[in-house]
Amino acid sequence: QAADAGTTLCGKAEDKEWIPVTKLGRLIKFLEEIYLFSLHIKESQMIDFFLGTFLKAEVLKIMPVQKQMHAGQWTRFKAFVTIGDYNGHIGLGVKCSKEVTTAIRGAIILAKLSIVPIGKPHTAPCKVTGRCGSVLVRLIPAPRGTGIVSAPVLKKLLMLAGIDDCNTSAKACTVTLGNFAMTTFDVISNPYSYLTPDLWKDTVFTKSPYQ
Amino acid sequence: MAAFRKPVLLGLRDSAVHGSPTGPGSWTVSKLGGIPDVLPDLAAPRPECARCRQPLALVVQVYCPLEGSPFHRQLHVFACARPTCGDHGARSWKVFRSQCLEVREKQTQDAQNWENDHAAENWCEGADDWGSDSEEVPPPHLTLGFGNDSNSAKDVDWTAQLQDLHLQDTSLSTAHSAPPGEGMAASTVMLQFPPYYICVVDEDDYRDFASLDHAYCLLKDYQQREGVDMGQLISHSFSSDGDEKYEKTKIKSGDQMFYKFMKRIAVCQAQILRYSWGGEPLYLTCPTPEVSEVPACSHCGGQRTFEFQLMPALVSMLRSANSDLLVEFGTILVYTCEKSCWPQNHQTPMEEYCIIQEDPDELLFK
Repeated sequence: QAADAGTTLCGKAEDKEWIPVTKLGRLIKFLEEIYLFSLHIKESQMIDFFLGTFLKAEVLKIMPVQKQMHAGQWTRFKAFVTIGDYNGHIGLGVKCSKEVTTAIRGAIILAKLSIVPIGKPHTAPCKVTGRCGSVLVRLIPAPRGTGIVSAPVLKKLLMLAGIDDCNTSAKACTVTLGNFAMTTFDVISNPYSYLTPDLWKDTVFTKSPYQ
Repeated sequence: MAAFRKPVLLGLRDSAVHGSPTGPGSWTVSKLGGIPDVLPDLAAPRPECARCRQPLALVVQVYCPLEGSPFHRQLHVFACARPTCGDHGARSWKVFRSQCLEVREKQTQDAQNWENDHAAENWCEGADDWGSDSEEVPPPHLTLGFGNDSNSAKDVDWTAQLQDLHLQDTSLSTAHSAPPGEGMAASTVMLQFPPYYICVVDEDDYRDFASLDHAYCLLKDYQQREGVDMGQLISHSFSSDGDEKYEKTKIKSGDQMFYKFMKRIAVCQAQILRYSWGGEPLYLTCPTPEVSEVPACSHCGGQRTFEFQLMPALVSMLRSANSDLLVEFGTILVYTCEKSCWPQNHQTPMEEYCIIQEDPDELLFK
C-alpha cells in the first residue's frame, strides 16, 4: 500500500478543527443565516463551531423502555437531553439505545441538530401554546422579576433557552415526560415560525385591470 | 449485530508534495491534486470534459495493487474544475485505471540506470549487469501469457535484448527529463490542485475512538440530581413507566441516510477516502435505482465492483492558488472491473465507472 511515513494516526490533530461535509457548512458565516432562511441543520459540528463553549447540555430523564420478545424482555434506555446557551438557542433530543451512555451521546447530537432560536426578550413574546400527544402547554408573558413559574422540567427548558420570566399553564397528563418536553419545545419554537410582517415579501402593486 | 463487514481503509491527508518527484517513488504513492504520475511505459491519461472540452484536473491518484496480483495498479480520478462548465450539478468525472507488470529486479536496475544517467557515462557501462539481467527479461513482452508468447520468446535473441535494454534506458531518461519540462508547459494548460500525499489507516483502529466522556459527565450529574443510580434505574423498568415506548429516531430534516453517514464518519472526521475492495459503499443520500445499476466492464464484459469512494472532506482541501478552480460533490463512488482486466501490451489507461452523489444541500443553491 501507500509507502508513506506517518501510518500513525496522522489525522488526529485535524480532528479538532471542523471540516465541513455539506455545502452549507462550507459557506455559512453566521448561524442566523440558517434561521433566516429556515434551512435544515444537518451537521452537528456546525452548532459546536458557532456556539461551542456557551452550550450546556442537560439530561432531563433517562428511562428504560421495554419490548416484549419471545425470549423475554428486551430493555433499552431512552434519554432526553436538552441543550441551550442561556441566550436564545434551545434544542431537544431524544434517543433510544441499548446502553445509557450511547443514548445520551446520540441524544446530544440530535439536540444540536434541532436547535432553534428564540428572541432576545426575557419572556415569551405573547401567549403561545403548543401540544404534543395529550399534553398542552401555555406560556404567558410575565413582567421582569417574576421568574419562571412552572413545573421543574419546564423550568429547566426555559432557563436553558434564556427566558427569565414566564407564567405557564399545563394541561393533561404531564407525567409523560416525553410528551411534556416535546410540547414545551414546540411552544418555544412556535414564534420562530410565525411569519411577521417584516418578513413578508414586498408586494408589487399592479394596476387593477379596471383603471 | 453488524453483519460481517469487509475491512475499510481510510485515507487521510498527509504532508504536501514538494517539487515533482519521478520514478517508482512517485507512482507508488497515493496523493491528491497535482499531476498524474504514470507507470512506466504507459501513456498519461489526459481526459477532456464532455461538456466544455477542456482538460480535466486530477483529483486523486490511488496506488492500489490487488492482493495476489503481479501488477502495479493505479487509479486516477479526474474532474472538471472550471466554474463555467455547465451547471453546478454533476460535473464531468472520469476514472482511469493503469496497470503494469511488476518486475522485481527492475527496481535495482532502475537505480543503476539512473546512476548511469547522472554520471553521464557511456551506456556500455550498463553492459556490466547484463549477466544478472539476462534471466530477468525486459517487460512486458515475455512475462505475460506464458502459453501464447512462447513463439515471441524464441525470437528474442541477444541483439533484441540489447536493443530492448537500450530502449529501457532512453525511456527512463526521457521519463526523467520530460516531467520537469513537460510539467512546466502542462501546468499552464492543465490545471492542478495543490498536491498532498495521502496516508492510510484502518477504520477499525478508530472504532473505539468516539468519546463517551461527555455522556458520562452528564450521566453523573443526572444521577446526583435525581438521586438515582444505575441499579435502581434498571430495576425501575419493571414498573411500567407511563406510556413511554421505544421511539425510533426521526430526523427533523428528514434525511435519515445523511444522518447515518455522519454517524459512520464521526469517528474520523478528516477522512477523504474510503477504500474497500468489493465492499459496501457508504451512501450519502438514498441511491436512486438508475444510479445503482453499474454497467459492466467495457473491455472484458465482467462485472464491476465497488472499490473506493471520495469523501466530502476532500472538497475543502482541493483549493488551488487561483481560486477559479472549484470542485464540489457529495461523494464519488468508484467502481472498477472485478477481474481488473489488462490486455497484453496495453499502453493506455482504461476508463472505469463512477457514481456521483451530490451534496444534500445542492438543491438549496440552485
